[in-house]
Amino acid sequence: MATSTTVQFKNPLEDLERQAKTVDPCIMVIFGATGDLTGRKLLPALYNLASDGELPAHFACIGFARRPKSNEDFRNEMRKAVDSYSRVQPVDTNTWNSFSESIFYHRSEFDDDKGYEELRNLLDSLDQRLGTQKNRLYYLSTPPSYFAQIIEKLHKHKLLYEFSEKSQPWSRVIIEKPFGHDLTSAQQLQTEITHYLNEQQIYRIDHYLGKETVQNLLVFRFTNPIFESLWNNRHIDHIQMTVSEDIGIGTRGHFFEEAGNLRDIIQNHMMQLLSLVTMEPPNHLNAASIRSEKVKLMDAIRQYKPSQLGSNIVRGQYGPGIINGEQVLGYRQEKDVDPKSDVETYVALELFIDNWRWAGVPFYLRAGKRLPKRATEIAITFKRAPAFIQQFDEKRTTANILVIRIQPDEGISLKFNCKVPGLHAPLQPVKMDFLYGAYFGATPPEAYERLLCDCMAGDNTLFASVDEVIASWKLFTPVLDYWKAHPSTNFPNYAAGTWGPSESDELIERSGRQWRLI
Amino acid sequence: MALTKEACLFNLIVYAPEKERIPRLLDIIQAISKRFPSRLIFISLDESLQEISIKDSGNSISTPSSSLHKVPFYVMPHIIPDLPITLLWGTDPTKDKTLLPYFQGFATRIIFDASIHDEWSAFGQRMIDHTTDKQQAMIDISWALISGWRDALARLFNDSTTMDALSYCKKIRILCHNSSDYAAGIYLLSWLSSRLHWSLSLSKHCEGVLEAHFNHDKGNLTALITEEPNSKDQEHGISSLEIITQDDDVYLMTHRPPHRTITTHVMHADSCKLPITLPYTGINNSYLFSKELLHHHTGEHYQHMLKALLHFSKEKQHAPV
Repeated sequence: MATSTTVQFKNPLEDLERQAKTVDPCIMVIFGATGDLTGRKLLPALYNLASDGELPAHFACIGFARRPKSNEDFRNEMRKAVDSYSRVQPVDTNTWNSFSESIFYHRSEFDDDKGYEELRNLLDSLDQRLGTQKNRLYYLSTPPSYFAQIIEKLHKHKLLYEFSEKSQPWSRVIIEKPFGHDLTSAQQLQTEITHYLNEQQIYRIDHYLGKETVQNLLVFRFTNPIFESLWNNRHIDHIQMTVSEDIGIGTRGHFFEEAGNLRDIIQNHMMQLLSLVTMEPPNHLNAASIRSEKVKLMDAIRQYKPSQLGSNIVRGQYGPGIINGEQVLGYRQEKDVDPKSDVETYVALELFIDNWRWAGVPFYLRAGKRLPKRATEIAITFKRAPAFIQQFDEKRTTANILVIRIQPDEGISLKFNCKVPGLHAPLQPVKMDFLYGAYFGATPPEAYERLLCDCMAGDNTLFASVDEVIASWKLFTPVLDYWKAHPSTNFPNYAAGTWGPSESDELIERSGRQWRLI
Repeated sequence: MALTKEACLFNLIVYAPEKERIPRLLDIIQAISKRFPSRLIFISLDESLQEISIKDSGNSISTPSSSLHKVPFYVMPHIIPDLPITLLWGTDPTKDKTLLPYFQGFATRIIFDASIHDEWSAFGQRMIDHTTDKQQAMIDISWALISGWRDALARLFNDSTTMDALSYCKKIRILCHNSSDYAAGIYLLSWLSSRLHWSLSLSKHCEGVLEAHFNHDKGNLTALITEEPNSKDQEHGISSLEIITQDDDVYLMTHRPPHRTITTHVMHADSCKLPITLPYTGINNSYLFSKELLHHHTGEHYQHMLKALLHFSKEKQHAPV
């Protein structure tokens, strides 16, 4: 491993009071650069960062992939992608022209030593030309099976530096999900990569954590005492979390056949949301404190007993149906999907958190594809008013519900009861609604912009720690094992365009509650 | 994200005492309102009136100076309660003894345009005194206008090698879009001198050129601030900055409207580097400019710049800018 020893340069012109973070000059290498993620998310994010002045002046991006391609080809493809997917439109030609000069393409197999030697030469020459100060950000946007191999090769070719808190140059690695496919494989991957990397150099990306609304969860909870004081089992009846997608699996058939919805959505995104909504206030707003509280929370989630695995977690798979008035295929008819596939496209579950704050409060999580609409939200249902207040119209009295909408229509709403004007006193639930778009404009930074910027600044607060990932796998690996041992007998069990299988309704109705109609 | 309905983040009270500064204030209001919806109340001074004139349901107030004392009583009923109050003041806040004292007790932020005043040293001293005990954020528009240039310089000279080259600087040439923007040029120069410990030995102003001489530990440097010859009226701030070192390395940074960028060319005696493009935080870059006005504080760099401004006029040999 190369050593990093240079003392950090202190720039007298830099105004740290204005800049939240110092983003160092660096070169970002994207492994698997010809994949969808690069064009749809990564390059548009980098372009927008450049446009907003958040990228360092001395910066380069190298696409590393197997297909033969020139720098010019790659730049042209990326321009088209940025034109299509950038949140800021139209793309500013002047900014793009300058930015695109720092984009390069390097063709190599992931296991080819020669390719890494050539990469090193390219990186060295770019450092000379662009002043990128030997800092490296490696983004592994490849199938998970390559993660360990690429890191081993980077180490072998001295492209990774030994970690040290304050020294430069630095090398950091962003790893796309999934981190392992169960507990054993996650632990194994962690063991393999920590041969070459310190945990501080590993950035496990979960793009949900980069979303403005998700970041606002901490601000909302901990800077508004009126809500935090109600945030416990004395006042909250239950919490529902929904990640609903109207799309199917599209071109991700191969990937989804290996993953399924539990691994794709619940194990990572939803558990991150759950931990942010339910964790205790951190002592400090830094990565270590926040991660520590998240891990404590994850450890407090009650493990499922073997007898509950068939009843407390429901799985489903969509069949043909109608979405937005159009007939769509069932999962088993999708491209690259086994016609007898047993892979779940829907999961609903009930879980409990065994700590002082949440004892007895049920949490209902559901995530599915080909549901009626796209919506991600957290709904906190408060306990109802006491029943003895009979003078009010009890049948019309509803529970207060605080809804945090993650996407779309990002915002927060509170439902409460109101008297309808008039001589009699019928009640009517009404909603106070805060919409991000109405206050802060239509184009908040994309999640990847924030996360890439944080990684360049060495801030891993919004990335998942290994302890969080392992805790999540500990909870869900027995479920996956159970499903493997007990294949479904009724798939497909919900039609595309409906809210999931009937077992899901039965799951929540057992406790006298209902899924929210979103 | 769907923009389903207009909202309101704060109250924005604007005071335009001079007619010729109204277009610039309107540009700023437009930049802010593009990104941050607010309740706007616009107060202008109009000596042709006999009495206060109210338009647009109270959002536009014109008044002769003799009725200025009545203005707060027209404004306050239109304030949206519980939301912050931001003042956008088209004048030197240290000199306004009429309206500002009334409103500043309610304000959370005062944005001011003091680019036309008679004497830099006195202004610097007044601002230092004025901001010392203030609870509100005080934002100087001329300072906001150079934030993109400050960022660009910080990014360009972001390692010990380039910073070393800058320490051998022998000449700086700043072009402003028009002569009323010399404040931005002087601010940038004062900021650089405060950060890099240059000391002013002489400054003079004649025939539209402001010339300053500095000493530093590697030698002397001359700085010139002039007006961009072909500038259009609607532009504000600095249009280019050229730094030449004792080794004749040239760092040329230019802003060409309508681009929202600063392009930097670095030329050494024997080679040129690829140009670098950085964002320009001008009024036409509404997002960054509004952030600068509404979310940042002036801070230590501004205070140090003001102190450098005190020196700037000590050896004054020039007529008012």
